Amino acid sequence: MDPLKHLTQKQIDYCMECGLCTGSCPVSRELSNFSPRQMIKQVLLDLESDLMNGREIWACLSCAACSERCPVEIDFPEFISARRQQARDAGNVPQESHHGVLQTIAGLQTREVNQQRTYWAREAGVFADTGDVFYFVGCLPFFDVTFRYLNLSPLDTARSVLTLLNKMGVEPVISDHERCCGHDALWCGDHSTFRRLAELNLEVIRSSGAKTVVFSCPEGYVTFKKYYPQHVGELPFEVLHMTEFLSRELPNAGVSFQSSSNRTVTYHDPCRLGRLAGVYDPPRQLLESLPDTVLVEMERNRQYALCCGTSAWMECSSCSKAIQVERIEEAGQTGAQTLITACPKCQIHLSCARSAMDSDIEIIDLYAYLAMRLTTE
Amino acid sequence: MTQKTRLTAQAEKTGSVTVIGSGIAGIQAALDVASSGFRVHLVEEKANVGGVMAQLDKTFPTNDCSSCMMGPKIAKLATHPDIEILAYTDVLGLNGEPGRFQVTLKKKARAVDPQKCVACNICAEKCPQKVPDPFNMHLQPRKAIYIPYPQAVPLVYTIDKEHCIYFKKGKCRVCEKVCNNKAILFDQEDEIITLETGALILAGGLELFDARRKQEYGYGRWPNVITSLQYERMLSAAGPFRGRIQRLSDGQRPGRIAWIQCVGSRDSHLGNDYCSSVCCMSATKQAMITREHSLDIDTTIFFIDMRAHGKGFDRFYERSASDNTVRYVRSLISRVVPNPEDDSLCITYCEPDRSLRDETYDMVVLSVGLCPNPSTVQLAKVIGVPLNEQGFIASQPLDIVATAKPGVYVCGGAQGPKDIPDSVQQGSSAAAQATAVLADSRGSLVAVPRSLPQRDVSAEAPSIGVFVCHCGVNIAGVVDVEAVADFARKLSNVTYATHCMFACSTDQLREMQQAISDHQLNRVVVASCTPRTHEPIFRKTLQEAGLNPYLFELANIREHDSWVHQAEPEAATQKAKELVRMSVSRARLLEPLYEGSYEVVQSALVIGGGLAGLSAALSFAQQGFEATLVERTAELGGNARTLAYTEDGSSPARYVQDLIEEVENQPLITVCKEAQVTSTVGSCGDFTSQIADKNGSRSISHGVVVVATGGQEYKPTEYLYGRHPRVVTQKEFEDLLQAAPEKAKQLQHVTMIQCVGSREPEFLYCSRVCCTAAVKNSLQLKTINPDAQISVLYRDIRTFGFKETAYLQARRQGVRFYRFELDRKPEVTRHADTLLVSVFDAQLQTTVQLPSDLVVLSAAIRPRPESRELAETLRLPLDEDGFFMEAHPKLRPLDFAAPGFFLCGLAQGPKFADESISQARGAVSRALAVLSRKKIATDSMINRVDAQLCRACGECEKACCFEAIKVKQVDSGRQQAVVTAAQCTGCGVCNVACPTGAASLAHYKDEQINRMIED
Repeated sequence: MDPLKHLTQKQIDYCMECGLCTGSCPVSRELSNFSPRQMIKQVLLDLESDLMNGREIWACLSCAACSERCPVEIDFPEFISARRQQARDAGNVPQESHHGVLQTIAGLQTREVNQQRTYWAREAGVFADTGDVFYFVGCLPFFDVTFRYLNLSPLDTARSVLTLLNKMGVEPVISDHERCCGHDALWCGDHSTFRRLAELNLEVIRSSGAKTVVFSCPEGYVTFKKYYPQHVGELPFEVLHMTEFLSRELPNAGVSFQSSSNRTVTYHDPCRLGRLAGVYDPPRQLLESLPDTVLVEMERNRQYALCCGTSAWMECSSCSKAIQVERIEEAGQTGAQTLITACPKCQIHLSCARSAMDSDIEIIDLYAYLAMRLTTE
Repeated sequence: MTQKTRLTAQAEKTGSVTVIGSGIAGIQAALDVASSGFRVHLVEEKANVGGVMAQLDKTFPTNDCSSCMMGPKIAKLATHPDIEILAYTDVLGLNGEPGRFQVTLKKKARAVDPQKCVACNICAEKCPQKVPDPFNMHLQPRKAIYIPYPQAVPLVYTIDKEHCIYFKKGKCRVCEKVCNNKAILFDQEDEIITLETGALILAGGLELFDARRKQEYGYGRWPNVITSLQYERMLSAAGPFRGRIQRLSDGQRPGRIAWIQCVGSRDSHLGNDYCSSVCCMSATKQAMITREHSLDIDTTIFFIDMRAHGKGFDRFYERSASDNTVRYVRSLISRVVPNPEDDSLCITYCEPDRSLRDETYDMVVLSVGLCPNPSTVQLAKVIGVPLNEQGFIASQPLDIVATAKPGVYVCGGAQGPKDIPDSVQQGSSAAAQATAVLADSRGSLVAVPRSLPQRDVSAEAPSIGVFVCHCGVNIAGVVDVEAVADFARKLSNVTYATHCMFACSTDQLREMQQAISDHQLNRVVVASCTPRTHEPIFRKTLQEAGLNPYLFELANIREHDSWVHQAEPEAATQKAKELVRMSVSRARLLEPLYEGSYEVVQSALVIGGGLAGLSAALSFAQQGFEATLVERTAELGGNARTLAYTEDGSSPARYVQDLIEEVENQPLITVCKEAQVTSTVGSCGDFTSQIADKNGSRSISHGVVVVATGGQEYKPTEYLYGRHPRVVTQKEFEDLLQAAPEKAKQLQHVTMIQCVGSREPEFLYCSRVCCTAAVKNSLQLKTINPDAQISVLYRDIRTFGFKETAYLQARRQGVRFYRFELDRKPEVTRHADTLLVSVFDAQLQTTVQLPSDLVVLSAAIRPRPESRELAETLRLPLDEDGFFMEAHPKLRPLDFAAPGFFLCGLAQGPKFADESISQARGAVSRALAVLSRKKIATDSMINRVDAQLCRACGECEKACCFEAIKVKQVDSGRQQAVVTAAQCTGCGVCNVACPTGAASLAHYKDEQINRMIED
């Protein structure tokens, strides 16, 4: 038996058909044909052709709301990921959003390309070519160009991170040769692109001499932490999410923040950072450490948080929109003026949905928010 | 009242057993131990005994009132001369060895003197501090000085020092000021004591899963999400809302209630991978009672598998769906979403057709799982008793009441999640095991009862006391009890009449005795419930007050009145008055009766030589009593001989071989093979039976009978069984796996079909073992051939309790499970040399074809056909499925209603090998209450013959079913009908047959009955 098939088969064999997954699934609420329970059963009974040929396989957000609750701990995202590779090989491909530009960019990065990934950093602060700490910027420079139409500037995240790091006395490595982490390729079932990108990234980091790699993007973080070791072996460096790094280092770094008048904020847990990586407290600790900031929780928070509605730049649909609207309304119900996100994609997706809504909640990236509140000397 | 004597000068072993925990399992163990000649120390950490069962409203599958059933048991416990109740006491340590343990206890200070407290409730009334009430699951507050409920035993108040204002802040002392009896002792100190004891029984029970851990259901945040035990308190007539179903948010009656199952059970995510065994039936019961309360409340139960694996459960489940229209939805719930506007709750579930549906409910009940009791876990660590993986006390395979530590036994919830009958039979089983090692010391520490003097009332005019019971709201909710008492007071010869909350409670019984003495009563009428359960307690109360116990009469104004005339309170009150009037009329004519006694034949007859019968016979021998074991076939061992292995790694087949050897070498046991019992006459404690074998018939005397005639696998007629060699039963498959593993290894595709002959309209019961057998045999085949594709076609997987882990294991090994519905059963067809099974998968809603090398049918367990004949010979009842019927499915699962007869094993219903062994020992424990006595008192309510009127016609002899009356020559030389007191059951048949009126039944004389009608 194919070992991958065996692995996922073993997982889904645990199913006792209780239906908790489907009941938990944000997609099932919108797409009546989408049912994790049915998909598992189909594969169990070797009736995979429906699944392999249908669109449902691409509709899963891999948000892990189902596996979080599954009483027998079936890793549904893992199951879907393995099936997607088979579906893609069989010619069933997802509907790429934004005309596939982001997939194309990722694909280009598997080749020898000359990137200008650090132009922004030269204005924003101080960085190095080699050193102990590597800041993995991820796709922010590309997003910055792609999502101007939403009046967003995703690179502000990277700028804020660099400012914060510099304030703490850290001059991180930032590299022009960095590649896309491969997260989207992995979840689109394109494992060969994923592996190539991973190998290139490891080379870049190795040559920088870094002992610690920090990520502001939850996707990059979880991809390195969880999926790189599975596909390319143990990593020779420490992997930290920026919120972990900051909540560990900031208190002793002599950095202070100023108060701002009456700021009530709520925090949206990204699936990748929360359910997939288990990081819930550090971002909250950072927000709570700010003077005069009140953090109010949404009804669904931490492991119960609702997904932002789209993943891996595919299958964006009315279903995504409905989920996003639901999430923004939930944020509004807390009474907070600001919705803090810690993932560039969450920020992009929620901002996009809000633009068509009658909501005055501000959506701000966590690092931009922190940088904004730095004490000005 | 009693005095202790040491009968034997110096017993080797201490003739007492310490039972820790006083839920229903502990109570049963204590009563059994004490009734078989040993002293009991019953230790309870809480202030009062009773455990979870005391908190329940009704119990499945009979829907009997829980406290009404428990009341008599607790009253018996409280008054038993050989039971010392040590409530509010912790166990600190255990030293010594089996037979001679020393157990160290801490009697916690209640801050109340138990000798002085009369439970008048004034302290609690005046106490200014309201605190959460765990007995009522925090639905309402109680006071810092408390008893959990009015019938609590021991009936002594306790100060909750954690919340008491005085203990916290040093001032208040209101209770001390208001207590008339000076019973408050603020400086009372904990007391450390050490007891000598022979054995220990751990019965510490369970704790409920903390529903707050399942945050998505909102327990603790949204007022109308409650736990199953809270709902139980809500339903209870004696509960905080007096039985009124209401939402906690606004007190309104809910229109729609949802139950969510498996909250904290079957959930590896939370670390609770086992099934809690009772929740499916408990939710079914709650929904059913809800519908009985009011048909306008819709009830829906959301579940995974319906686990109705106990006796009578499937019928109960089917009835709830058909008669009570309880709705069942097979889907677990991911989230409960509140609607802040009206505090209603939205639930999303997925339908079999894969669509999601939202439904709104007024109230959600979480069926919370059962978890190990932390104090039992702590105790186990202290005394060195290992726990199992799930954190319960680990018991030995096939000896489920034995812990790894000799002399220490376990029963009930402490051993694993289970329902009341399983707890009760384990309690009895643990009692048998604990006393077996102490058999030599039987009787060494028991109290010798003092004979109670009786007042001679023959010269007194009738002076009747009438007590009208509220029974919580059971009676008073319908009948105007005050009016009934007023009415009674005006009847002639009634000297005293009153009404009370629970006539059977210990405090009320004490008041009754006081009234007898204060008013010089010589007859007592209680208007309450059925004499079946409560007459013995009241009679005993009269006896202790110096009256002959037969000067008592019960008017049943509950079963005969309030329960059946709920809609007509005025007419019900009128009827209650009439019933009381009738009882008073009869009471005037009651006469004292005196009991005789006869010698007990201290040996047992065990019928059936399978696992249960062998275990019972050996257990009798271990207790020092002779037993005759009668087996119909030429070989001992029964079904167990083919049970090669179990899911928990034991081998009943090997076990039974050792057992046979032990039984055959045991000098106290006589084994009769190829033999049958052809007649049994006599009565409890003194039977004579004819045993026929190929050498003829012989007669033996014995004191008790244990029926252990077993069961057998159903021979299917469906699915090509018997017509195709590749269709076998689960038992035949197990033989193949065992005897010919090489052959089994060749099997690539095996399909198992569950519920063959079970859960069908004509056999509406679950055979309990087949799901586990399928899982166990699947795992065995996977061991032999990991590539074998095994498919199990099922209706509900019922791997209850820890057996769930075997099911989990099977799924992990790749065994596939397909669910089908009763109306679309699988089809098996020939397919070249092999078979093709097609099944309509109820979840996928498509037909799946399974080519199969072998089809294995999980065939039902049926009663043995001979049991019908035996039932007639012994005059014992069978249930509607042909299994022997116990006295009560809940609290007397091992007794027949006829005294002296007991049952165990498959004869009683489908069960596992370890359960059969446990039941067998439990049945012995029950029988010991008879055998350990030298003499038995005869019933006084028997037939008497008027010598003058008897003309020796013999009609009575012909009519009697019990051979209790015979025409004989008497001393005067003439012929006359003579009654054998020990055999007469007082049925009255001879009275009817007698043409002259010479035969009359004591206590039911014509005149006593006629006055009831005529007055």
